[in-house]
Amino acid sequence: MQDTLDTLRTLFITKLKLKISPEEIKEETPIFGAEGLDLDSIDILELIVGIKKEFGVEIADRKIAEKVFITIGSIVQYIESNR
Amino acid sequence: MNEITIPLNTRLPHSYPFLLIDRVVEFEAGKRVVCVKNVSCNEDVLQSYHPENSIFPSVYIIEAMAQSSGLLMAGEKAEGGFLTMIRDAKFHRTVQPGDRLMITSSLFHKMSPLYVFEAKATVNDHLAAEAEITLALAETP
Repeated sequence: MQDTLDTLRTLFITKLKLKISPEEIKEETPIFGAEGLDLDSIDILELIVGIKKEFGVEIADRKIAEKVFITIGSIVQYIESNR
Repeated sequence: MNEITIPLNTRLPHSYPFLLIDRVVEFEAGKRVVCVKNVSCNEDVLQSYHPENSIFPSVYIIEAMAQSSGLLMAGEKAEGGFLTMIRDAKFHRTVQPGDRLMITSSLFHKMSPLYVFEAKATVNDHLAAEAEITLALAETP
């Protein structure tokens, strides 16, 4: 769980060039909105591609993506149950 | 090599001088395509880009990759595809007049309207360039 979270934090920072430290990305951090990471659909696609390459976990359609990309924790949970 | 004929002008919206594919040599619908671009000293762009030492511009290689990738989206109900993102682009060697550029593109991930491709370009089996190309389908009005 912690390994997945750490890898995901690195993925967020390297893929999206976020100007924050890994520790600022917490499980409860929202993906969308100004109170969270404020990502857009292109960012999400980059993460989906990164997750597929890094964990071998595919997020195949938009409906699944909408359920997965809520918080960092919900992404970790999806990866853990599908790898 | 089994070369196949695909009428490019019916599958891509591009035309001279910006159609950067001469021939499709392998085509697996929705999965993988291999195209050829023969670089000639008569290319319009070479008259003004490093005219003293002709080099095919790297951005044209990216465009050729995008056009090749676009062939894999042909058949989708849309007004065409637009280059949305280029990641991890690397140019390993220069491409010059007389070179035969072989462009291979494979669909890596699809989440309509966005399509992610892994593309590479080789000259004489040597890697000239590689990139991750994302195209977006323009929706039919």
